[in-house]
Amino acid sequence: MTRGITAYAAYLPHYKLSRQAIADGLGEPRGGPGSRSVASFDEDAITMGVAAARRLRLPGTAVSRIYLATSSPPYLDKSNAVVVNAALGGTDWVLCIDLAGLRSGLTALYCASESGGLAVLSDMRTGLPGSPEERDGGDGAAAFLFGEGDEVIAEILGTSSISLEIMDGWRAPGREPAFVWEERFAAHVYGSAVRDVIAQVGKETGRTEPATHTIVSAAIRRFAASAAAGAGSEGGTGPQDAHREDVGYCGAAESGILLARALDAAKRDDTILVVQVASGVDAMLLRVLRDGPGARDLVAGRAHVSYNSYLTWRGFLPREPARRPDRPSPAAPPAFRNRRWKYALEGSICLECRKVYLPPQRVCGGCGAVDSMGSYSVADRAGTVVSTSTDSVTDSPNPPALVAIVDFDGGGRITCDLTDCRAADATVGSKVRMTFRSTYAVNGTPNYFWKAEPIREGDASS
Amino acid sequence: MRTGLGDRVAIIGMGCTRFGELWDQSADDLLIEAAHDAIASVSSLKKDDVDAYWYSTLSSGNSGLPLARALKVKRPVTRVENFCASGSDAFRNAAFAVAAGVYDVAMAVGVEKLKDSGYSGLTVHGAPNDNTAPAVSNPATYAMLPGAYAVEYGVSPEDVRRAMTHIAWKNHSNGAKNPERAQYTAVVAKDKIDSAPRVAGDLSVFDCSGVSDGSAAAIIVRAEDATKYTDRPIYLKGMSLHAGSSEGAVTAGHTQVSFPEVVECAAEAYAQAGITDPRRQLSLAEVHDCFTPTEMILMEDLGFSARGEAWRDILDGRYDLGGELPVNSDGGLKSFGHPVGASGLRMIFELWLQLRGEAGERQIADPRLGLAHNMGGLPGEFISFISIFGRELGHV
Repeated sequence: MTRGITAYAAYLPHYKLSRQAIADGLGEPRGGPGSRSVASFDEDAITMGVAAARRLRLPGTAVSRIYLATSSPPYLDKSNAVVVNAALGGTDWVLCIDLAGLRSGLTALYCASESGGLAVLSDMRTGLPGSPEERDGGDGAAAFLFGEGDEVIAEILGTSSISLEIMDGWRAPGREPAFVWEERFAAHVYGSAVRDVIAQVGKETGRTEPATHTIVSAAIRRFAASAAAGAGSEGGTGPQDAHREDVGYCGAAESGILLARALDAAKRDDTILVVQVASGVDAMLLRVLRDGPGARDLVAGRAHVSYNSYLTWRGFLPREPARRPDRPSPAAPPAFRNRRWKYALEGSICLECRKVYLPPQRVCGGCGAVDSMGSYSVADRAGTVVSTSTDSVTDSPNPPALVAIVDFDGGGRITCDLTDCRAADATVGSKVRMTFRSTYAVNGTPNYFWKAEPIREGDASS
Repeated sequence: MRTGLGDRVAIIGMGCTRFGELWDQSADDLLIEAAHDAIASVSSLKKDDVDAYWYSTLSSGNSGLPLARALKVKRPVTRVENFCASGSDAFRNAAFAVAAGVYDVAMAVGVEKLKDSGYSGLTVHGAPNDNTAPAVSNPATYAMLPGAYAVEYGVSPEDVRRAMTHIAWKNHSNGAKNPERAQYTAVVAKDKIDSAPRVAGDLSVFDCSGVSDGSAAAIIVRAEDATKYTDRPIYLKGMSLHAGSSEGAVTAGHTQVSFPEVVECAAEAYAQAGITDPRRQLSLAEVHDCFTPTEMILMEDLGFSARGEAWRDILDGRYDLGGELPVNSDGGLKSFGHPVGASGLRMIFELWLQLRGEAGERQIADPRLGLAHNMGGLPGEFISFISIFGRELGHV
């Protein structure tokens, strides 16, 4: 039976930062064309990974293992993949596997292709103000479900890897700025390694002609472009070039986002060669079994963020906080008891009178029934803004904060934060959906919950 | 059979400090001032005559000990906390105790020292929880009311805004006639209110109650004993407290143009007091104007205005000091200030002054019945308290 990718999706955040805005902010003359994608202040590798995986519209029971690949894990020690599983409404029986570093992206795809399950690739590239990482980096995520049968979209023909102990770029634990050696050194070493790996994949799969599409994930933009061009694919380098201009290099998520874009544009029987350059070179050759939906504009409708706001969101430009008390530190026992609510947005529905409660209740205020409740998730339900307000009193990295009362289709009401919008984007009657976010952090520890975001026309989602 | 406490208890003495940014006074200082002023207001009463204390504060002290320590009393002291209705609930429990005959003289004393925190607005420190609540401020929560009101009744947002501005202007004007005690004592022009920068939605600081320090105290006895202490006691005619079950906050389709807890609370208090037409039978009302749209909606929930008509009655001046039913003659939370644990008792203090003819420049002519409405919580989930006082025993 055919095995391979049965569903995929990419997620890019709502915000983008133009490279000219970076240059203007730093007093430099030319910033280069295009913009990079920017995770909002309430996003991280976990939440973006959840956003990508939710676009697969999987039932909570569909997955038995999850791989999460990122170089920017919000937690050390504690598993990040477990948070993704919790937010997807997965059961406690899912095997959750964390993969670390820039190289983990294609590794996750490789592992999931072998074992089946969900591969989530999600990353943020930040770097110091003025650095190439800041300018050429991006934030985003992609998710791939692997399985077998008639649903397979693309099968994996073969893979090849070269591992090189090379100090081309690294970060020490707890030290944010990445160290990057001279680009020409890395280009020198990786140039021949890429050629070798591509040749090896060809040899192992018997397909020595260029793939229909070749995509190269590499931090160095020019190297990625020239390596992709050198593969001689008929698909050319246009989509990859556009991605680097509009989004930027998304670290461990890069190969996944590029693959998702290639699958969108591919036709049945096309081949796609994914090359990932990080601590060596990995290559994966896929054969497409179905026509893709056509190239999607993943960056339409994105909002520009000012460089100052971006710097504040990333902690480089701390601003005077509102005169409000510190937010409470996470309290582990209540968060654990209420994890189906906090992470899966699961309320309750009265089995007697069908009243929906968010968060879940034991006693129904509608009919008085006690302990006659079923679980009821609103994570995937659309809602309507009943009432909304700006809030300049509360502390926010993006003032003024926005709050709304939301009524869900099918029942249930919540008062929650609005995100990825300005006040004019979400007014009374606006349709919204829920998105899993890092609502605040205490001493670097994120607190996760859900916010509402406007449903926009033409939103990209697979 | 439920009878309530109408005509069964009376207030014989009260004290109330200045409210405001009282940088030079501690919570103890404020408690001492309010409690001793209340005792001093009854010439025949000594501190030892007070049998028990109910001490209300949201966040300025834990247990009854801060009061006992500050006043140096060896008496039962119970701390009461019920959000912004804490002061009212201290009065309520003291009233229960004397009515039951357990004590002869009880004191309710409330205090809040908000300005020591350095925070903007009110803060509530809750129990450890799952941290899923949004960090929404109280102004933002209440800022969602005016829009809902405008939509529900087909009133233009501009007219709702004019009504809110009128409430702010009225309460600041009343506060200007309360120079010894109110936090804000300047008349504020309507165009200044309209043009102030917004802090949440359409609310500016002029739509929000003052965050302040202060204390107020009341001495409560059984009605039959009242004239032993003063020739001008005020008698409780009706009293009700309702705690909503928060259904409004979680029920889809619930419209936030009325506070059901207040409607239920008013019906009970009016029934106890024999009030059938509150707008005409009441001489004045102190209501919980934490934000200007709150006062607007309360005019309807308390039965003073018809549904959808409060905005117009407000603009017509019905609730002005010289109007048919003066509301918040002392300046209200808006201008007098809102030291949470003391506010409920401060409202009763204005009824005390007015019913005794001691309200000075803002004295209402021949008041007979006054209402104090105090509440805590947020739209959709309120504690509502109402007390009605008269200057005479017997049927109203």
